[in-house]
Amino acid sequence: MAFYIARRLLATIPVLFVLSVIVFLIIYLIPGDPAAVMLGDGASPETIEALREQMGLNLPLLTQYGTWIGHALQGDLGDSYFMRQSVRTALAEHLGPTLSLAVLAEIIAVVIALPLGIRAASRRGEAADKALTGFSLFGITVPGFVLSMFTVLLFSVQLKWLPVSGYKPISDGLWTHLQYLILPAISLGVVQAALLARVVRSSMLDVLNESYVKTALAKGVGERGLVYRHVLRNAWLPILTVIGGSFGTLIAGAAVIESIFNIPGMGQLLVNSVQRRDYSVIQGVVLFVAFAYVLVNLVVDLLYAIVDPRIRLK
Amino acid sequence: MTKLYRHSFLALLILALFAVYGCSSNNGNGGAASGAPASSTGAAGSAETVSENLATELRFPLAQQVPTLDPHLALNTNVYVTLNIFEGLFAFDENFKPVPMLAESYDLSEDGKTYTFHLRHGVKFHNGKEMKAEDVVASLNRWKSLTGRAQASLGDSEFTIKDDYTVELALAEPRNDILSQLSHVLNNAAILPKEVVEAAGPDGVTEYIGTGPFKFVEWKQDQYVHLAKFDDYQSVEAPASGLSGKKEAFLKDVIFDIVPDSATRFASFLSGTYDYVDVTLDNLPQVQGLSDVTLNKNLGSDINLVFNKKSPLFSNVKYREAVAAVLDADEILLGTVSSPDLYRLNSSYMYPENTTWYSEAGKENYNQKNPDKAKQLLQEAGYNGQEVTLLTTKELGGTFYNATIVVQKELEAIGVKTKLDITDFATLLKKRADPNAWDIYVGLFTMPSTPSQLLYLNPTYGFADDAKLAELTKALTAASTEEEIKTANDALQQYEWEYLAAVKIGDTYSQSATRNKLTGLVTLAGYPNLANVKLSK
Repeated sequence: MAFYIARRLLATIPVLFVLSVIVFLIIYLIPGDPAAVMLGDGASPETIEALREQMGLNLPLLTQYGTWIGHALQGDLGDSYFMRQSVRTALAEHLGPTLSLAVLAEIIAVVIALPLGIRAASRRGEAADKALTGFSLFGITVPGFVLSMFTVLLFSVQLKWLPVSGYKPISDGLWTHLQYLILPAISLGVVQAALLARVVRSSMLDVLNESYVKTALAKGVGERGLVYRHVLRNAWLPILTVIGGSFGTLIAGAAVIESIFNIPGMGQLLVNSVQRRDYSVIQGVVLFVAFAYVLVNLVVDLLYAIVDPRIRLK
Repeated sequence: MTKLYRHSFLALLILALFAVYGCSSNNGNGGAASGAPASSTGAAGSAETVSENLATELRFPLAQQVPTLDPHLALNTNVYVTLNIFEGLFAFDENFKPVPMLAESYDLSEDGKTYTFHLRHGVKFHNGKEMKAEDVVASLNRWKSLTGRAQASLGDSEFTIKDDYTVELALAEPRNDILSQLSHVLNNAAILPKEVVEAAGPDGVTEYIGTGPFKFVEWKQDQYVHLAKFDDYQSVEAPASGLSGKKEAFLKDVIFDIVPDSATRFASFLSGTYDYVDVTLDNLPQVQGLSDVTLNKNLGSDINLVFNKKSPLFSNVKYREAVAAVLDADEILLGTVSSPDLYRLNSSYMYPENTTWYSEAGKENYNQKNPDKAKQLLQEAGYNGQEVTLLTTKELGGTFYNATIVVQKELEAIGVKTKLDITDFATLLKKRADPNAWDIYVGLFTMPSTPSQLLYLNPTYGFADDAKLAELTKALTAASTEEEIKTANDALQQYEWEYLAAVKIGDTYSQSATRNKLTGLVTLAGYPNLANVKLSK
């Protein structure tokens, strides 16, 4: 098992390397320069030039990349031009909010989708099934930010139960931390739930058609036992895959939701850095997100092995 | 059963939508009274000796990110915050007249070339150090080296120390805009301690130590800036006016939240987190009905169409005249601000409120709305279907873009081939500095206090390169009496309407809403002065 994990992690290194080259080229080829952004509109060309020199932006591309990769291999991702901190620190600080948000959104998604999908599959064609179809349609078509506007209008402006935007870290208290995340998590979670519910339903239906289910029924297994012990356990694999994929997306940072709710997460970090041309941070975020995706996929594969004893990890 | 189910689901959905819409308008009254905006910090009771029931924390929303808090860098973007932390030798009152702030008084030599500034005694920096001439000289020389406008005014002159409380500035020629340059928030000639200035690298100072009524506490990049009351603030005694005069901090903490999304800012205002918000036309109906909210109309930027005077077409004045002839100022302004209440026509490059520098010279050339004349001029110039590139951005609230597309439409109507180059702001900055990348740029400009500070009369902005323009600008800054200024100003503005470095389109207003429990908020040129602000509980 440990061998497998180590091998998988090692296999991501070439992926990350290629990705870093591509991202480096793209962001340097985009016009606009961080020195001009930092110094603003009325700055003289000499001041801008001096800052560019200091930032090393006038060196040849290959040199700049070489310096960067050399440091990166030692774990130093460089410094942010605008945030006065190292890229590593910036990533670490922005990871927390995104992680909390992703976990909360995923929990909401699973809590909605799983029971709904199970019910819809076991009572196919009836009320629950129709509700699921309607809900899926709603969740997939309504954009997250529209949902967020409605929820803010209702819960923050009208009822004043929850704050409109902002973020407080977990060190300020669990409830304080959560209340800022509930509305954005709902906006994200409902959309993910719509997708997930359909997968749960179809996966369950597939299993329900298997012959061993008929056998179990003939044996006299009750409905509850059937659904949870026999059907659901066999239906897990596709469900896990989708959960993994959706969690990966959430970790990448729901930039729009984070911007609306002013949550200082990865999405917001990436958007701001691109706007400002904060090159080292852009590199760092993209690499981190790629790595996170790989990690999530690894976890899903490991879970496969746990859930399904027939699967042998090679 | 199925049909009924489908229909009832649809009905439920519509009902839900109505519920949300119905509840949202004109119903903030009940909510506004409840819940103080202050949340986390500090003791419940005010520690002030004032017996009124005042809140100690104010949260103020900022619409733009703050790239740096160094007052001498990235002017415009961080002024909202820095004008509360730092001060300069002078400050503007509500009529844009310079009033002494950190300076006690000043003397001007007979020939108008040497300024002697006498500093106030006993002014403390936030780190406890007393402000002396060495700090002023270090700060202002740095300011000069970093600010294009300052360099244009001061040339090679430097500030020098005469004694502990006296600073001298010896100019090569007399200039009458020095005090304005030192006052205007646009230039932010802030005074910092000498050690802080000397320790600064090209990317800015590392400590934010000023003399203002609030001191810097914390800056969480992209999230908020936290300021706290500076207990040893030494106020001047003159009555408060504009950004000058007496400043008293009634608040103990000010938190500038960075909220770039306008819908979020507005929702936060409605829910009571903020007591001040900028209002757009869409949001206007929601605040108009509220009983505890006052709507303010603030004079904002003016709109100018700047020519790239190095471009193949617009280096020829005839083409510039053609564009000036066709422009319909009302149409462009209305297209930008969407309401006739939010703009006004103004032919001058200065605001009428600025009585010293306002002029009506050349106004016959303003807002000509004459497409036939424009076509005639194009023909005379030999226009042959060349494409005109209009550089713009959709950022900054979309106003630049709106103004540009109205101009585009007006140009196309007289047969000019146009192309829109829409980029993000960072790219726009780069392209605008490149004489090969654009022809016309329609922008909103924060109004400076004297014509000499107008960016587009300057070679770096639109590449103005005209001997007579330079000469008239110089003559304007050398004028000393009010009459001389008026004559020189009329001459410059008249000439500008002939030379057409840019075409003035008009002035715009912005609207803001303030809860009635927030008093004492003064804005100048759109920037809020938070000293003297009181927030009732």
